[in-house]
Amino acid sequence: MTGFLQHCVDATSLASLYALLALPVALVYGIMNLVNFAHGELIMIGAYALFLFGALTLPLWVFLSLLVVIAAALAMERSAFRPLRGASPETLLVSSFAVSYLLQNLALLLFGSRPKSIETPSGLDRVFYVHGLRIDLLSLLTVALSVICIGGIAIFLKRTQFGVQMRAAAEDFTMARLLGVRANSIVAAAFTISGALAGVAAFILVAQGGSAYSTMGLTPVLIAFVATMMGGLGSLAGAVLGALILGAGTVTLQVVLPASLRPSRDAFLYGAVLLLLLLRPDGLVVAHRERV
Amino acid sequence: MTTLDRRLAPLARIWPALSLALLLALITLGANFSGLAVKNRVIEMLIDVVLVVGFYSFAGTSGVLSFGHMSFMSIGAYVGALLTIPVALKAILLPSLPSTVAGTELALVPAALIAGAVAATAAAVISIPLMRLPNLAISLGMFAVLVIVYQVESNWSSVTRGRAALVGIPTNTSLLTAFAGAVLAIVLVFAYQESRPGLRLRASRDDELAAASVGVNVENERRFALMISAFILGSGGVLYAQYLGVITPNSFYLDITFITIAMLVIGGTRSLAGAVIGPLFVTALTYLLQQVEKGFSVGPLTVPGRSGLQQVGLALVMLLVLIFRPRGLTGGRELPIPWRLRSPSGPLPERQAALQSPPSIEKASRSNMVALPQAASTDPKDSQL
Repeated sequence: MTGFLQHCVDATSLASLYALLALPVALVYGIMNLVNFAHGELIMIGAYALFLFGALTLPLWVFLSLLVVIAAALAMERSAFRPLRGASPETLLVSSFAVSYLLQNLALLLFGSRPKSIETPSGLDRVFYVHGLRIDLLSLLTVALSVICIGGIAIFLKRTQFGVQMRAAAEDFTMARLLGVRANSIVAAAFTISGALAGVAAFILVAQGGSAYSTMGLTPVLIAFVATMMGGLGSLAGAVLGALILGAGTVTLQVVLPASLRPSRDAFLYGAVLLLLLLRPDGLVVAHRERV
Repeated sequence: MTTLDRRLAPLARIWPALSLALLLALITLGANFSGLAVKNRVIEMLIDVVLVVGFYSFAGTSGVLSFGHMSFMSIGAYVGALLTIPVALKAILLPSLPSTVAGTELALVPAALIAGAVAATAAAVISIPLMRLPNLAISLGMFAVLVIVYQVESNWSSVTRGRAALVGIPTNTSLLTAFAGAVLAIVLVFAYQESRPGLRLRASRDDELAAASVGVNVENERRFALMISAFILGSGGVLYAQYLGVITPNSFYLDITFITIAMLVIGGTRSLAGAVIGPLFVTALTYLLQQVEKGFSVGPLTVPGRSGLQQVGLALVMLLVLIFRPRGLTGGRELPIPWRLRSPSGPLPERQAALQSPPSIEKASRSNMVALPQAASTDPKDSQL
């Protein structure tokens, strides 16, 4: 019983991290039809920012790093994606792929191929035991950050004027513009949110792994893609749901698979997702079907 | 139509493939009389042509991008390697192989054919769920396939030696074999894109709903195209493996995925010419960038070299092409037919003939039909929409 509960705890922590990765990708896709390959590189930028500002005091360290990621997200939108606004989703996807490759190699150019180790605040690795359950502080923090961020975004989208405008833009961008919604500020807001979430994810990943390297965005962005695909592209709730299932699935496979196959765990996970999509090609939550 | 035009008509029909083959033949011939460095670079370029043409046969004709096509190349390369490594060496490198594989040692061509067939089979299997998805989800799903294949190859040590390199592959890919491979790929893909299934898939690319409404089974057409694409990429993988002699799972991962996509996008996604011009252009570009990478001096100013500039430069060029010339360098057209471009209203002798003897009505209307599109040089056969 304790074993099962322990797995539940692990799955919850992993799933909340996955949700933090998937949500911004789904949000940006919903508003401008861009599946952002370069979201992983925002996380990488966050990690390098944490490395550069490592000498500062804790609040300043986190705040400045977050600021850098948001600025990078906005700069990315302004330089690469705004000239392509209104292009086909395929064009946007391939251009974000180019941006991703560009940033990866730029990081390689600036920081070299060796991972930069980053010292995280001591105490994050503290472990509690509750009725024999092993809970570490970082997992707790991950869940808390995830709940705060997702809850905050939900409230922002439902309750504020600007949030309603964003949802309207996600529904029908042209119509929303005709009704006076400012396209540039909506898109900028989406990228600000995605930058902020990438910064938070970078913090968690750095606290887990302790280093920054140029290709560290790959796995997170793949998880975000699979989760949003599973949830139905463009649906925020679907993306979170997909992330939760993916987190639970990862932990289950980790337990079920024999040790020799465990290194290929993710291969089995994605394979299972592809099979699942055989049953529901449009994802678990169908956002809005294209009208004919 | 003049006799000249009539005699050239079949040539005009196959011109898009013929012109590209001639272009590659010229380059190959030039490389044959050049130094080793140039020769190797041209071999690499010809292999890239095979890969990009193979990629085009799915992505270009269906309009659906794929981030996972290199998984087929990877499968092909490993199958090809297992079939061609000398038996004695295989016994040392991979002692636990099944005896049928362990005991075979094939030449380049049969190995490439078998590897292509295996890759096509893999494509057939994964396309069953994948091609039911919406377009963007196919692109992302193929990315997941790439990661799956990479992980399996990295961890299946008894067959692939895992992350350690698989060595001892005979290096039989010469300039001539690479050229032959590129031409075969061009011919195969051209035959496909002009065939009925190819036209059906291209129709669905231009308007998916309209194509479906006239009875095109878009899912199945895409499955078929993916199999062709996988066959070419699988065989191309063998050419690649037999050129380098060494492969690792990393040889078929993100870098090569990016470079092939960049080549097709820069050349132009929607024409076979784009799939050939792209590798040519990018090869020249990377050569230039490599020179910059080494460092150079302009007058008194010395610019120090920095490795990694090559990739950054390529990504920048690709972004610029996407922004300023979204259809690529070829603009999504095949190469123009030269003898039709010489005069704006058709070849000169025809007009003289028309003046001298009044043609029959049927003949006149036919020559009119031919002459009109020529005037704007947008003969529908020449340009791929």
